[in-house]
Amino acid sequence: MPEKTDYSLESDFVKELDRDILEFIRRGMENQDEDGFNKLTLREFELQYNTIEPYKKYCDKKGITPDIAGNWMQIPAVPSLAFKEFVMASFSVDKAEQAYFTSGTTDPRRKGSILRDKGAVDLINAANGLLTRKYVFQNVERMKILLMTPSPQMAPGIGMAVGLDRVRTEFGTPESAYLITPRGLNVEVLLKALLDAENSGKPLALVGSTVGFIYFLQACETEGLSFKLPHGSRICDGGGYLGQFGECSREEYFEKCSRVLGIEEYYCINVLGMGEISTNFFDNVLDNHLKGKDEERYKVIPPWTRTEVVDITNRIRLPKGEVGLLRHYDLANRSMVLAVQTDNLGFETDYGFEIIGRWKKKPGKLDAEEIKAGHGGKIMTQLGNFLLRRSLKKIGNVYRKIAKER
Amino acid sequence: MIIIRSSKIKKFSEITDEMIGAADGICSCASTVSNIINSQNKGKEGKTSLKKKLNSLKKKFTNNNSCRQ
Repeated sequence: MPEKTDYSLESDFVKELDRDILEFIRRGMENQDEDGFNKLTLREFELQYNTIEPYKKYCDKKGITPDIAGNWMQIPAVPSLAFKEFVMASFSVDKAEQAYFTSGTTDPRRKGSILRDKGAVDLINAANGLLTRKYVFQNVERMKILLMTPSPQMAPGIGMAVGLDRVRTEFGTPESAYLITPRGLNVEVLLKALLDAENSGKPLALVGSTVGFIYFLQACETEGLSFKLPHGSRICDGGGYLGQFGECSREEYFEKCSRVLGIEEYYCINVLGMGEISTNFFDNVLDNHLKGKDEERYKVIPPWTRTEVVDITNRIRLPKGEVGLLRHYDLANRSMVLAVQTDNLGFETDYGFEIIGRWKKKPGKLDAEEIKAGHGGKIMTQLGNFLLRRSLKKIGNVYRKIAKER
Repeated sequence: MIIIRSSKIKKFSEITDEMIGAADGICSCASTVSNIINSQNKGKEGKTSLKKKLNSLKKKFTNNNSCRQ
């Protein structure tokens, strides 16, 4: 009888897999090793098939096992909702170093967990550190960052808070600050920082939740406020919104960033990040601008990941340009599952992909055109809209008081 | 605590393709941000703290009035 393979975190299997994935990530964005990627995905699939019981059952039902799968495209992709229903961890959860909620989990009775052991944390940090440097902070070592998110101490279960704290420590200067505090949105810190940047000529980075930025921009426009941030200032947003608080197309968002903040469009970087996928997907615009490359805006697919767009009904890959569901394969997902079938709507471009919203199952209905114009995917709530609008009502008064004293 | 669109979500006993499109389509990060603002930026206490912050800022600022409206 053959000896049973050890898939524990202490095993040679996992240690060698982590080492090889990390090495693959560190080869950077020019890495075109398709064969290497394929082999790593199959090793990762073997681990996850043998350690995540609900996933094993799912694969067995589909008739796909590690013995049968010959390439990454055959590996079954898990619907993102599975993370809310089951523990999707390829390791003993008592060894988790990171634990936070899945994306799209607002119901406290149904909060799923994203769990990572130390090796997996190293993978996600390596992947996103490399990408954040290249697509957001390529032309600056460090800068002041204002974060439209709570700190991880305040909201340890929120993936964005955990991820952006890493961004703050890796790319921010000491005066970087969180805008969402235990006392709420700190409007005066935000306004003061904008005024200080204008006066000092030192560029500023605004990073965080799309919805917060859009409301801020809209509130400034309502109050007739505008700033001229120094060249090199940038805004990096993620998280999306639902478009229920007034129309704001992608183009309008860039116009607002320019009109209200003085930030050029190529310094406006949208990011797709979700708990179920370790790697973040960044817009290519700043990187292209710095290279002098003229290209359409899209989300870049790093060499250690693959993204497909599949038909909603039969889950078969669609041609470029056609709207369907985004499916991601991410080597940095070693602690969970490599392949994730999301509910996000998007389309493939020649060299990347774009997200346009989130699909909610309605029998026989897909109205993608209706949501196609939204910025960053429309996945925010009507309630969120109301709450944020409310908090920003006083922004004009706050600005005038601060400005008067300067 | 915000609870949105919860009761209509079907429970699953195993992973199935039926799960696709059945998730709660709301970004938890964005919801958290709005939840915090809702619970903190309102009422007497919130207004008082905002005023305190503004007064504190006023003391710190120098007479450098070059900003515009």
